[in-house]
Amino acid sequence: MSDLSFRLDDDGAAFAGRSAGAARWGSAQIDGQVGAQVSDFVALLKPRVMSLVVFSGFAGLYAAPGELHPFLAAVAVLCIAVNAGAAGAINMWYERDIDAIMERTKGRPLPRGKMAPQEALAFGVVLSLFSVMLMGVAVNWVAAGLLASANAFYVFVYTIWLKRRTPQNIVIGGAAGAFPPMIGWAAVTGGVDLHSFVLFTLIFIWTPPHFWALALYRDIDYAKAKVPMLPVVAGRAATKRQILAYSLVLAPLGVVPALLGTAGVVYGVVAAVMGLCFVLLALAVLRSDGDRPARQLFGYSILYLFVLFTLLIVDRAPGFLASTQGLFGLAG
Amino acid sequence: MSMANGNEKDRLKRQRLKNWALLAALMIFVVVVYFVSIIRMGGG
Repeated sequence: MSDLSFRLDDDGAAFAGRSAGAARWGSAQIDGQVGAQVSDFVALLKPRVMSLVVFSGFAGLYAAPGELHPFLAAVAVLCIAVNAGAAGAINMWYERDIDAIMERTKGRPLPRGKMAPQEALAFGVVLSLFSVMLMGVAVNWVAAGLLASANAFYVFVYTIWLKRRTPQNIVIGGAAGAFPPMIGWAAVTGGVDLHSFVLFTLIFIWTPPHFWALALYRDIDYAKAKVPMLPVVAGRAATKRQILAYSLVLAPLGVVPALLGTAGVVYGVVAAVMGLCFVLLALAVLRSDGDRPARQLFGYSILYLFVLFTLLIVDRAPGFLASTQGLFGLAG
Repeated sequence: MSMANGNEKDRLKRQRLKNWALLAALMIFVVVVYFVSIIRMGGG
């Protein structure tokens, strides 16, 4: 192999100068020298993204009315986690060329040449199939179908179809990340209803301002990788207006679970206050030329979702524990 | 030559670790399926 770009240094890291094409097609040769570690396979599962997915899935499962054996509930959460990780692995397989270009992602196992691309793909596909089948057999096939849909949506609609073609990639593709509470809900109830649809919509509307806040201070990265994120294509001003628009929809939407009875009064009050803060931060982003408000909004958006779903569990909690122990008597 | 031996040792060590991880994952899967079967057959 005369192309140095395919070789590794002593730490197993690829030389930084290799091209995107080498990252896409050359990793098999790179891998031959040392091989991947177990930690590289763990990294393929995107553990940080998985944590939010698991949490929202668990919240949906816990808040749903009905009963589910605790072990089966744990299996359902495990399936949601593994499936989200598997979709992440397939995403890394497909995006290894642009991951090698972007600062944020160039440390991932494939751009570093830690494993052959086909290993990552096989890992993702096998875990996807296992998690869907286990969900179907252990819990129910509605939840399994939603799990498969979330996976397919993330891989085919977001990663392969939209991400490199349209600045609306994150708007439509964001639906994949909105599935987990609906899957958790379906695991208990065996179906989809207005309550779980509202939880889905909440994450769906939350996703664009969350990612566009990140894209505002990572726009050079995305531009380098030729990913048509909104700030790259439409400019920063247009992105900030869109962030504000979505925040204005998100703030009242966050309160809806309390109005529907999915959550209680404490949830409703906190959601209203945090929604207002979300809008104020979006206004600060709109008025500022610097990156700081965008960074603050990105961090706050994560906190917003974590707090709301925590309260959904703590404040309402009509799920399998409450319904079996009669703690709240609010199920329905 | 010694570097090549070092690489080979490293590769074998990583391969062993991956084998153990795979075995552990399969064992967990078997245990999960076992308990799921027990619970589902019991009407849980």
